[in-house]
Amino acid sequence: MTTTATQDLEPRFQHGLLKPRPGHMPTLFTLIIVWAVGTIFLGVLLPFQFQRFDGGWFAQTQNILLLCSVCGVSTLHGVLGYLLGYHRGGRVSNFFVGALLLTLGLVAIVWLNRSRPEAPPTQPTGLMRRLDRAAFLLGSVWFGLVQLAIIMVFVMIATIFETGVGADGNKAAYANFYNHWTFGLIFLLFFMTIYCTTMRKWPFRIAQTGWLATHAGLLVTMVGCMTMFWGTYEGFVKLLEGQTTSQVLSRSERELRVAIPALGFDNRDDRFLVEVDHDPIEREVEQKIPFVVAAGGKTHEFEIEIDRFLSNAEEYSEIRPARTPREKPAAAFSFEMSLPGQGSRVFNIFEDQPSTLSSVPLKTRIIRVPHRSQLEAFTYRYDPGDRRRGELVISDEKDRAIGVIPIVPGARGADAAEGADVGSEFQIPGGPRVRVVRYFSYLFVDADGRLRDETPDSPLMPGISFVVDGPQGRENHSARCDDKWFNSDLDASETSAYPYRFAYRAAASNPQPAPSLTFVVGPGEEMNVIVTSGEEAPQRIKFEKDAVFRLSSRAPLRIKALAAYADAELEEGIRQGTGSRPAALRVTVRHGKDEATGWVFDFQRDLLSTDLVVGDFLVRLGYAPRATDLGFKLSLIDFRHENYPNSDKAKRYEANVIVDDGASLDAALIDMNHPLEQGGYRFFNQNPIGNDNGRRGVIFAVGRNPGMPILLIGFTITGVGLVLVFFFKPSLRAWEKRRREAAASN
Amino acid sequence: MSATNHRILLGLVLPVFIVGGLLALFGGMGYYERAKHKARTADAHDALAKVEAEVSNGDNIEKVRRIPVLFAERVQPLDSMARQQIRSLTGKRELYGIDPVVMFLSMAWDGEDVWKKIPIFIVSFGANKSKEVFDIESVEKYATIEHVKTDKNRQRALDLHDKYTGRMGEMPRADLEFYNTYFKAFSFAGGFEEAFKFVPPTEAQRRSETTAQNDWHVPARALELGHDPKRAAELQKAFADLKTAWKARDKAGIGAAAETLTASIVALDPEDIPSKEAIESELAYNRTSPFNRASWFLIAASLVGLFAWSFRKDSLRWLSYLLTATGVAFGLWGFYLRTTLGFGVSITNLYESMLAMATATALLCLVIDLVRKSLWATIAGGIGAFVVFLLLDTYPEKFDPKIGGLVAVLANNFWIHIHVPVVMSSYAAFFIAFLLGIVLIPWTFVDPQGKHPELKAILRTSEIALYLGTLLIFVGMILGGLWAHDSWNRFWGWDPKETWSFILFCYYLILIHGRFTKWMNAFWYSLFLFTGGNFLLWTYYGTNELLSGLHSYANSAGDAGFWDNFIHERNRWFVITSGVMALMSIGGALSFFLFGKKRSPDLTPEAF
Repeated sequence: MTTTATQDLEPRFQHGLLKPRPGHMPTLFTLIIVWAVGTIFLGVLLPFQFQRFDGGWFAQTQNILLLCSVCGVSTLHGVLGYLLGYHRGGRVSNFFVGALLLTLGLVAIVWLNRSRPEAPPTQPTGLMRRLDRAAFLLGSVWFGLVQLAIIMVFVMIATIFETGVGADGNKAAYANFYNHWTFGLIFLLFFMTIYCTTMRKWPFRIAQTGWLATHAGLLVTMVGCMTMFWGTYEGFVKLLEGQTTSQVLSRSERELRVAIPALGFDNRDDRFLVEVDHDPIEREVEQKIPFVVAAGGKTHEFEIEIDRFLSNAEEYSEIRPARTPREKPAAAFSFEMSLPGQGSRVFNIFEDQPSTLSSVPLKTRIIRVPHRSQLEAFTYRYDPGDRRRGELVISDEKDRAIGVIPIVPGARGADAAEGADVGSEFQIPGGPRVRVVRYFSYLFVDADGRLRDETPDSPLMPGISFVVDGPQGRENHSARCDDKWFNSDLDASETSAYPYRFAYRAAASNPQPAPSLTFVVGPGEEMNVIVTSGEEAPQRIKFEKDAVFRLSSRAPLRIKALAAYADAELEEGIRQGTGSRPAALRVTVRHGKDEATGWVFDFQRDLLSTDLVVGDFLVRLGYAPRATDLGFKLSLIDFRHENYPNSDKAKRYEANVIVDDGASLDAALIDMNHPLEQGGYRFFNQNPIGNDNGRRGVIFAVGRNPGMPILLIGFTITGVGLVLVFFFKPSLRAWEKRRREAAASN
Repeated sequence: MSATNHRILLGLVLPVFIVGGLLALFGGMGYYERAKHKARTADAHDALAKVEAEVSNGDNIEKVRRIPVLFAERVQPLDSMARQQIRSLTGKRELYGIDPVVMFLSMAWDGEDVWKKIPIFIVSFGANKSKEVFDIESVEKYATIEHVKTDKNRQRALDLHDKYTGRMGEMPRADLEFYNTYFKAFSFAGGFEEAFKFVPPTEAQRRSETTAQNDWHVPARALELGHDPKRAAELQKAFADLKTAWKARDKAGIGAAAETLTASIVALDPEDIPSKEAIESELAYNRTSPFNRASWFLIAASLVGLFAWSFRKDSLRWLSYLLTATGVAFGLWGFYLRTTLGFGVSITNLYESMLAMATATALLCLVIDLVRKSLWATIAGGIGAFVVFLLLDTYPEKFDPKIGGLVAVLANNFWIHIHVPVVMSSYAAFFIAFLLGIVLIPWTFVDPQGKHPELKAILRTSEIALYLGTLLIFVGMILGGLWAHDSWNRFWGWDPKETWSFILFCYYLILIHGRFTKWMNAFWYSLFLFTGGNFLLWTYYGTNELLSGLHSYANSAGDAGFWDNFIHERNRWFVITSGVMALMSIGGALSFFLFGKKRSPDLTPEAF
């Protein structure tokens, strides 16, 4: 099939207008407010303040209305610019370029055609007076201090909120507080207050120099903050030695990469920017991305819906009670094992899956004990030297343990050779009752076929006799440990009508029995675990949530009970976890009536990690930071990392790189605190990385911050102002007084 | 009452009855406790005096002190390592009057023969709970190795390890003390074998690509590391000789072996070993304890200042300045030494930041008082700085005095040398303002308009402290931003520490506006100064302990949430102090509402 892939066919227009996307609306509104209010203040109110009493051009009503119209029209032009830049993601710069161009043009026209002022009015009237009054109130020191207090409380709450969120706290605090529109509004209001406060001082006096410088500096600083807010770029580059890149990955913007191989579609469009992942505590989200692919003369309409975002996605599998009762219930136990300093791991054990835990040499099994007496029997004192004690393990035809009968020899009769009484029994669910009758220290069968105990005082080769009594009749059996392994497997099915296996194990059958955990579902679904260490007597422990126990008093291995159910099933999925894990999105892809849902993980690299089959199409999805072309190539030649002696604390990172900008090759050294500046970006050593082959590398933090010069100017003016206010106020007053006196004397 | 009488009343009765009384009370109690402790531990004193007499002829131990060893990320004289080990075990700079070097080596090499029954492990934080665990009497402050190393304690330590693995910060303080003490005893029992890291890495190892290769090792590994076999053998022999001579109580042998050992280490690595001058400087620092001395000069300056103010004696005023200047000089000298001995950065941890704050407090007090020709900054600031120095000296567990390295991004950085001292100076200025607030509140309660000339002078002094603090915190925040811009390309990141600096700045801006616009009278101004102390405490300590953050020593809060940290036993003192201060502020405000305004119009300067 010949496919012509057209990447960009989706109509962007709705009812003849561009369709704005939901995520861009707050940005657009903020821009409108900032621009409109900013231009009105700077272009209208500021000149008006200067001229209101001397009746200049700016103090005339019709001219003020004209200037307000300029502000309004330029705002609309900014909106147009933003929307026209929509296919590039609706950049903020589009707005400003659009708005500024028109403003300059209109201002130029207005200025060139300005008429000479008429006779100046002595007092502002009407609208002017109201504006004046509003500015006066806005600029009151009380109002300013209340705002300052509100800002204090606001950010105070933000720090507490940030700590409460945990690992992603700073990101969450940005989304919910510092980048929130309410904070922007307070900030804007504060800006206007400082502005009005400053203008209230008109006409300025020498003694106010410090005061004015401080407040003017703050205004400049706030403009710098806004520039920084809009213009800062933060990204990163991961490089191993010998690798080269020409792209930087964004820290704040992530995109969905979508590929539909059958249609030749592999898109990196701005529409696939993910807008739901800025707030790590937000869970339920909604973003829909419709797109159309044209191939082979046909158009295919797809829609991607993101409905869940996890900042710390963790794959989990845990047990839960079976939702519906089952004919053959399967118990399950969940527990966590940890070794000091080696972390912990969760295990889920199911009744029908006896196993040795992978990575831990510990046998586990689950058995059911219907009678309390049998449960209590587990508490017998185990003496490793006493081979008389033991157990009879009953298994079904699939070798699944279904019961254990503890053997505790009782008294012997007059004839010690007849063995010792036992009397423990077990009712196999839905099967016969098994009763251990006698115990023999050395079991042998005499010529008459009777079971005899050869050495009643010395358990050299212990054995037992037991009875299986059920609907298919009563059967007598015996089992004897061999002299080597001290255990015996008796396949009763060979001689019995019942399909069970019986394994007799003397307690001291093995001088060092393997460590094991026997989980017991007792009467009334009481959960217990029998812990056998091989060193000490087995312990019976109630398996209750958060109960912690060890294999033995000396063993470092720690086991913590998590959950246990008499009838359980496994639940698997993805949820918000703790620690440092990749973020993930739940994505549904729709095509006509077909749809498929899956999770896409952020592996911090360009990777199509999730495949979904939607109808006839395989849709491949990746979720990664947005890549931007640097405009040059960066190669990592060598990276060095030195720690302080006898410490894990990093002392030095150094990276040798080569920059290829097409015209020349330049070598550079990126040291800590000595970043590389290239193409408007700054590159910092952030973290060392390495791969399995011992190849070293580094993550470079990459940044661009255009607000810095404005900020520095603002800070300098404010700092000078503070010094003048705090320490030179009397001198300035004296100077002013001298000037006034000199003027008066003249 | 005349103004002079009033001054005498405030200047003499207060210090004599309050400060003097408290000093007498605590001093008397301390002396009594010390005498009792000495009587109880007379055997230990005797035993250790005997050890010291057996091994030391003065000169030989001086040679031992100068042996270079790697400890706490840097090569330093054995004297420094011994002092830190002893301080870590006992919580004191010295115990039983024995030289720390002798004490440490005796612990390492004489072992339980000498030390089994000598109480050395400090049990203070957990108080009676820990004392019960160690089975020591409630009057005792120290446990012996016999008390600590029991099977029961082993199990308990293991259980605690299991329970708090990966979240040690959440361990209750009493348990933490037990846990640390148990493992200290463990090192003790091992003869501190791992402490004697005398063997530097080889040249090839140091240039190796693997980061762990610049580690230092114990003498037993000298040969396997690949050093010149002859020199390595010499070092091993010298170390063995030193140990043997110590055990044999061969005084001359100890000195000779120490000299040979030093020479062997230098022969292996002439580059990284500190110069003789550096070693001597460090020994001088250890011997002198400049910050401890500074604290005593400052409290003396404060008391002399109080007398000078009472009697209007210029000579006493200058004496007070001189004492403050001497205290400052000791503090600055201490910083100079710590900076040159360490990695070129003066403030790297909570201990050093508090030292800086206390020193800056004294320095600013001196400057303000010299400019203003006043005394109250010195009087209030001297006491404040003394208390801070005292706290640092008393709780080595919390305020670790080691000179350590900094993570890469902080080290070799131009801004750290400016930003941190500036911020600490701003804290110091606010601290002075807070202390003056305490002085001012009772005065302004009866004279809310601050009409009395003496009161006016103190108010003006506090204003200067306030202005300095505000200016410095502003500059400090900018410098921090420039640093962050240079190191992370992020001028401002709303990290809790910087956010709280901003809050502190805003708070004092409100106060300054209130004062400038006259809507705050002298009383409210003083009360706000006092409340500012609470904001300062939160910014300085609360953000470290209660909030998450990125600052170098601001990571104590870990992943536990704000409220978990808030109610944690570790922070109880902070929460109580802060709460009491807040209640006092509210109480002061209410009292003034109820009583202050009625009385204020009747009072004139003459009423004093």
